[in-house]
Amino acid sequence: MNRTLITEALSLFGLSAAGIYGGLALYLNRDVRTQSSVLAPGIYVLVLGALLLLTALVYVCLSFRRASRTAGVASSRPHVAWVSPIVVKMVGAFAVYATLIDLIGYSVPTLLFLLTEFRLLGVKSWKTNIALTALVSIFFYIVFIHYCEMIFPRGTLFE
Amino acid sequence: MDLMAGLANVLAPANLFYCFLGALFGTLVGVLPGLGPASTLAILLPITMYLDKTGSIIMLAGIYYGAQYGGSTTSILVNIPGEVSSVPTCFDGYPMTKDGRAGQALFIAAVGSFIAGTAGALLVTLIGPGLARYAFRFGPPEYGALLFFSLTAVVSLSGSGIFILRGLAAGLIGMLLSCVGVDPTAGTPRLHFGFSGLMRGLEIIPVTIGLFGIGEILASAEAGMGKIYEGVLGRMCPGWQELRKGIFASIRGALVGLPLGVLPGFVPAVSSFIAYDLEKRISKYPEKFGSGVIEGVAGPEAANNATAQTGFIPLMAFGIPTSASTAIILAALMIYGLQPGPVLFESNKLFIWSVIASMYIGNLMLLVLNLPLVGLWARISQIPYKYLAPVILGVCLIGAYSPRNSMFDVWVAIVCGVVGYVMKREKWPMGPLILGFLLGPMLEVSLHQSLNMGGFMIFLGRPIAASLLALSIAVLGISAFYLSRVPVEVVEDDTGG
Repeated sequence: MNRTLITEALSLFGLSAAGIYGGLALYLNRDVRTQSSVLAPGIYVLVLGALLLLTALVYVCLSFRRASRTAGVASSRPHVAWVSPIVVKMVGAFAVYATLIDLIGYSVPTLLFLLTEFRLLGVKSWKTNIALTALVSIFFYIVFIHYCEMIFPRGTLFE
Repeated sequence: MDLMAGLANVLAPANLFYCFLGALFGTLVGVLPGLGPASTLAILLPITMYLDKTGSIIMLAGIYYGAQYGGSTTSILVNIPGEVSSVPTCFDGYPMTKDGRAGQALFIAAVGSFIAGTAGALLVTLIGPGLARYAFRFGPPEYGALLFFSLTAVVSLSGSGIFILRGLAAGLIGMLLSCVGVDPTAGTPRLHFGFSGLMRGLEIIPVTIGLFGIGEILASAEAGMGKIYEGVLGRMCPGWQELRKGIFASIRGALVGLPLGVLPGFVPAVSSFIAYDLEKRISKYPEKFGSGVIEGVAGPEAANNATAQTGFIPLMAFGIPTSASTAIILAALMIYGLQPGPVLFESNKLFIWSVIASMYIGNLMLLVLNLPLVGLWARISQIPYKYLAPVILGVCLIGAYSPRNSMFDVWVAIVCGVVGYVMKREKWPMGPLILGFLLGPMLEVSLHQSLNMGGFMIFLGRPIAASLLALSIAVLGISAFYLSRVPVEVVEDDTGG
């Protein structure tokens, strides 16, 4: 069984389990007088979770049968790395950016984020990179801070 | 008369400007591969909160139907479809370019799009208000049944073979995610698992920005972009015989696309493939298709525009989106406190008629933008992705943060971005997920109200609701039948490993 199918199965079963657990918890912990109602709190969520579980079971069974049948047969699809390095780096940079905004505010992390992303995506010249970062930062400032009057976090370290 | 009032309102400088912006952004989005209308709408959605409501919706609608125009440019010039709906345009558009007839292909694509877009706007004008009046007969059971039908249709049409199961799972996940937060009927928090952020529920904006905006950027960054058109466009206007064939194919394409737009799940991509197939079947020279036949460009281009345009009919009349893009436009309407449906035609007449009138103006603007300026769009499509992606990611973060000034929403967008990227990569349909997320709460409320009115039997006792449920079962049955009939090889191709 390939890693994609295992990931799909785990995600689907995990989500349906969360739905069933959430629905059941809500239903059992409610006022007993509302539990007799057809759509008592939690029932809707419970039904959705159960339907997802059923769908996941059928899907995983069909996919597993298909995977077993094609085991050993060379795939016509070009080989793609399971985890793409560029995507991991971009998501990592984005996550660090969000964390830094929380800590030190919006401005400095934005400059760092743009410099990093331009570099990651192939802008090799530092001069071009810095010029682009400056231009985009000015654009963001004019549109979002000056025109839209948005309020960004000042950073927990400075509060 | 109402249309005239709307037209007068659209001709006001501010609205005209938003209409132009919509057409411009739409063409740009269509031209740039790797950035679709749904992702652009999601990215721009938070910004529109700071604009006038009429102008915003005019702009968002313009982006949606404008992208169908622009999508053909890169299909014809460099064999890279700007949109999925423009894939069939590649089949004959690119061979025309190789023959030195790029200008003619672009001309007929723009004319076909204009014919279909205007016909679509006309249909919205004629059918929309009537359908909205009919929707006054809809109570909670009818709405519940209609929502159920929309969701089953979207799931059933999310592909063949195992794709239907993926569509169903995606739709159910969307509905489950929409349950996070507070129960709309009991008022109790649910599915928060002790996280205070989840207690407030998941906002539509970070979810759509993540799934469509960030997800698409990540997928494009992985794929890498860079093909450039350096040839000449050649003569723009085709000869009379070719033009005649192109116009008739456009009319046929429009006739295919117009009714399909009203049905949930028939996204423009589906109708453009059907139109291409139709052109090939009725042609006297089907063997020439794929080598640069003008009907092969005009038919699909007209069909996808017609479908995009008439997708506004169920959205305006019932508040039911038929695709991911119209779902985001519905979210924009909700942000402004406007509930699409029959009441909107009564309480916000000027607004709704301004949006409808803007479709005529928008299509005219798109024709102007796409004919004389086609060379410019060909050049713009050459902008390397490495310059665009960081800017779009920066806007995505701001967009996710701005609705509630919450960093939790930024994290939601990042997680949804990864999910969107994986779904795109593994060919999971995203339309059912976003429609499930948006329609789930409406279905829950109408289900609750209906059951309180008369239990489950109420759905069978009311003719409209019963018919819609029967239709849903029929759609499900056809899909299940189809699933069992699909050869194993096709299922394997569909699952994509």
